[in-house]
Amino acid sequence: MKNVTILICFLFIVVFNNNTYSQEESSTYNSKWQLKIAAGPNIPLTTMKQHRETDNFIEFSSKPQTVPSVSLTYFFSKKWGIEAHFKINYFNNKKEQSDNFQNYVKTQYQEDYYHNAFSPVSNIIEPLPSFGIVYREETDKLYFYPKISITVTSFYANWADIELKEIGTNNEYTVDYWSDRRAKDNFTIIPSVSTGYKFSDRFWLDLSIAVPFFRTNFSYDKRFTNLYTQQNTVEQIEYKENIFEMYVSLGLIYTLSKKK
Amino acid sequence: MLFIILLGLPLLDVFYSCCTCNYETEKKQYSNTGFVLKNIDNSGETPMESLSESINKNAYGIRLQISRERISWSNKNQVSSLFTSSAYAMSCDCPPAISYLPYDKIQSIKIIALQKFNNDKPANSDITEYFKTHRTYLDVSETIDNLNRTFSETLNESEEIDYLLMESPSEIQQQFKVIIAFENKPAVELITTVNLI
Repeated sequence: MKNVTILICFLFIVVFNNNTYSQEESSTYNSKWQLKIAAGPNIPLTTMKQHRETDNFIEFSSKPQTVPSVSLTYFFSKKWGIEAHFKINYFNNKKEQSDNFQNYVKTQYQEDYYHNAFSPVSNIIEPLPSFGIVYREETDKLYFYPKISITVTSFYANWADIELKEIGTNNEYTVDYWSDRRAKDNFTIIPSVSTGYKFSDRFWLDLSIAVPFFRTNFSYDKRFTNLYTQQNTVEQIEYKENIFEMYVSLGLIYTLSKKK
Repeated sequence: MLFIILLGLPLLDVFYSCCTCNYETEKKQYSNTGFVLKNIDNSGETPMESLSESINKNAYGIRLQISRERISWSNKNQVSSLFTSSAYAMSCDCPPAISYLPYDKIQSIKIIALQKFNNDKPANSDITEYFKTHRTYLDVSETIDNLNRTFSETLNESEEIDYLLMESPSEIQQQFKVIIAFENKPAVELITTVNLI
């Protein structure tokens, strides 16, 4: 995280202190609408994992993955614009997380119980639209856009259920995992920078770095119930974490319209 | 106004129409004709019938097998409506063509320990409260309504119900008597013997 902050500061200083970048020439600041198509790795910098079995019920990927994105920017003044950004997030760890959960159940209960465990985790593809404001600094061939956007990061925190039959007795138990709401919507702030090279009048090569941040604030109740006596014990597993990711994308900007 | 009423009447018919079910509901009766009592060992994943003389006292239960037979015909009811047309019916919830009602309703099921069970329950004590159904842990008395239920379309001619012993006895040798009382016929008594170790 520290490295990212240093990099952003460095780029800022370079752009604002260098006179060559602040020259206003005929080809600068004249694009009005820009369309960008990009792709790159989305790298989690922190994780919400608590190293508990409940980690396997959450449909949120904590692994680096390559993500496509598209954005549309409109500059309403020389220096300022607004941007709509559309990124595809996906979660495809269903098999791995299901296997992890089954292994946990085996390890934990195999010795004393017959067991049957289930959680409805599934792979998902989720569009992540974000909206923000853009500041621009341009030269004839280069540009630098610091941006700040907001969005809502959503994921599912699924329930899970383990049925236990004690070996050699008539006793049966259930272990239920339950979070207050299945769908978790988290307000997300995305500071980002885009920079690149204008290799033609309309087409620019773009490199962007975004650091989405949100805070999770939910918990799981793990309820162990004796089905005969109906006595139960409840343990709370909390997910209160600051989640930082880094999305580094390489893309192509097409200038749709220009100022006359 | 009259025009609106005349226009509205057919619409009202659509909402209030119901089906004419083109058959008569046959009501038959069934009788509980046979009862068999078996020991079960629930040490494994599911309860298994056991012919062994000794069973784990923490995983013991009894299985009651019930046989039913249809015994008589009863009245037939035509299901239809006098005032509404079936032509506009939006859905049809017709009753079953045949239903089977119990002739000899079970009134109670009691389980008696013929040997001393523990210090609180000497020989010939009623220990029904110590038995619960498999998985659902219902009291024995709570299963009676289900055994006396009305069957639709097909009669379930045989049924098994597992009662698990949820208290361990202090004495090894045990004999249990199950008394099934009916509303309109003599009670049935079944006995099983087992060593609970």
